Amino acid sequence: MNGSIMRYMTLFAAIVLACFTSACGGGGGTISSAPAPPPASGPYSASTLNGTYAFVMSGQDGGGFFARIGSFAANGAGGITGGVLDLSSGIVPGVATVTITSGTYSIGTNGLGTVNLIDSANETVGLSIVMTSTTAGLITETDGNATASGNFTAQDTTTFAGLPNNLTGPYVFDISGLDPNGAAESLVGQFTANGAGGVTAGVVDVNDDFTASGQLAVTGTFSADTTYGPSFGRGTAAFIINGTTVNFSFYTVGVGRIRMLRTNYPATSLGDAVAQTGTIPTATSGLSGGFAFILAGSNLVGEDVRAGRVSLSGGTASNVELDDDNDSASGSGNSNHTAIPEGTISAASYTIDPSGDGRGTLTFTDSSAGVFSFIFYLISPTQAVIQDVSTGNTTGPIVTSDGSMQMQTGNPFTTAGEAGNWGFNWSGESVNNSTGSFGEEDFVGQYTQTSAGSISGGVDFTELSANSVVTGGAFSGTMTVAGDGTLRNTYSITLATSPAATLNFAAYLVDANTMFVVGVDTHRTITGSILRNY
Amino acid sequence: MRRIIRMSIGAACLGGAFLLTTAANAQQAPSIRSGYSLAREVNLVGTVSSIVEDSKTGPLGTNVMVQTGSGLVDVHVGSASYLKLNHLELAAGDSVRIIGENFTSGPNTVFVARIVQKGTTAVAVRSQKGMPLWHNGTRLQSATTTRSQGGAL
Repeated sequence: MNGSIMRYMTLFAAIVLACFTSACGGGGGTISSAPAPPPASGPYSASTLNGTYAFVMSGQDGGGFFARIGSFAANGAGGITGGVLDLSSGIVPGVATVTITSGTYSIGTNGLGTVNLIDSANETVGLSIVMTSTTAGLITETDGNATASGNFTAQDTTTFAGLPNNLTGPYVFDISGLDPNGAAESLVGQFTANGAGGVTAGVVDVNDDFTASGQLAVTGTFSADTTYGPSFGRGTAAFIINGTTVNFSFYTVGVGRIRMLRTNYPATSLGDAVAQTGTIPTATSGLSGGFAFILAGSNLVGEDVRAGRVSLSGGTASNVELDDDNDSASGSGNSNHTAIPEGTISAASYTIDPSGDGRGTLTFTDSSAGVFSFIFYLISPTQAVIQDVSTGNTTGPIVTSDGSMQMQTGNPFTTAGEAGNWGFNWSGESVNNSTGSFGEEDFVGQYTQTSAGSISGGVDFTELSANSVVTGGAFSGTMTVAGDGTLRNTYSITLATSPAATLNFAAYLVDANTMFVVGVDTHRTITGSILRNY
Repeated sequence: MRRIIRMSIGAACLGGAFLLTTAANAQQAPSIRSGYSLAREVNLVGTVSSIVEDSKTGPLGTNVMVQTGSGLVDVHVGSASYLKLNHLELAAGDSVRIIGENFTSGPNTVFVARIVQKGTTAVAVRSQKGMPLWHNGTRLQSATTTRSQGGAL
């Protein structure tokens, strides 16, 4: 599974704004669904999941926003044999490290399945999953106790014993969630691990509570956890940023990636640090091509999610397209979709930091929507984490969000070229038409697309606004690639639910195996990624 | 703590420092893309007419229609469940005082609440920079640390 997508998927759910399980529903809003068709024959089975897997997820529980990261061991035959997780939640205020004692899982041939993690308190976390490769998958929590989105990926257990000294060289990181005051925060940056548990020469850009920090220095340390480190790759880290110590628990995927949860409760943020690879450019001449990006976070009225694309060449940005789905209401409904350009694009440019840390900026002005500004850190010449610091029609950021940026490759794209089998995870918030309630929703599913663009598949989801969990639901839809596919495309699905629901998206294609989508409907703000799963 | 979750009316800065308005003024309201400004805040006093979570024009989330002396104002309070978690439940007929700012958003006008007060209970639903806080749930009620706002790590 693409690393950048994996990281992004830890981010967008972290900033989703929604109501709380304990207060939602309003009664009578249960959604029912026609069952999904039998899955097409695929490569997956229980034996696919065999080893230890690092997972991250975040969403809403009865205490508000929560995040959970950890590691579980699967035995290849439907059993979870152990693990550990870190949970930051308002239900039992604080961050708890909890042993996973047992559990079960199932995986269908198409990669859709379930994982149930039983902890030392005999509580069960119920997850719906879809495998996106033989080593990774996407998650939605569907146990009715909470809703969340996330992902998991196989760990290289041979690296556990070497922690933290095997973390060495430059890493790019993206951490997002809530600061201690409950305001959305995003931290993107780069650090060098010194191979002895130290963080040296780090830099970070923080967008916290609509306040952009500018580049700040980072130092810090990594430590292995002597209890859970040897079996599950767990450790702790402390970053010192602008005089403030920011603490984390982390789980290593391998020496090239660690998954991090901020543990300074009530602050709760999570994300990944990924080793930089390739030749990181030091000038705009070193970065060119088409790039698609996806972001999620908050604006003044609630959740704000964006996806788009841009062409970069010699410091000039062109062919800018962006879809913004947020909770405002500038259109006819209560969730506004704005397609950029809304007016005329000007002053479109990008920069690259000559220091070699991979930092860059992207900015353009829409004559109607104002100034769009982004900071990115390159993981490689084709991938980056990206932070939104757009100022709109004022001088400071009007959004706090972040996500992923990836080079578009393999174009021209065609509808027929998108045919095949895909897994997805989407997260957002919605107002239920029947109950009138407002809350977070998370989807995970899998489908087959024909060469003509017809879609048919199965989906599991939790929708707090309807106080509903649906598993094994059917859906159908269409995918339509426009032009050469590098700009905005259209994607739509209809859930076979009662009441029925259609979700319409703008889709940006990254490559033959990846697309970003962002919702364009009223009553719903949603985004996510769709990954070819076989 | 500086960021107010619950506060007594005596401690609340809801008094005369704020301009008392009775209705939204769409002509003078800035675009929602202009960001929140404490300098533009107003103090809205009125009676709850209705509570709507599936508003057709207001931002996604809970909108409270407040009857003021000069008209009905659509107030976006974020999430009713967040208010409930912080011991503030709104119902038609309630007298409320709301600190916030009026914005235009396309053809619509919405009053964006920062602090909602009913009786002696006031709840901050946004930060001083306008950042929504309703996704916090109960977590800040249990916080023991005091932190300032705005770029605070």
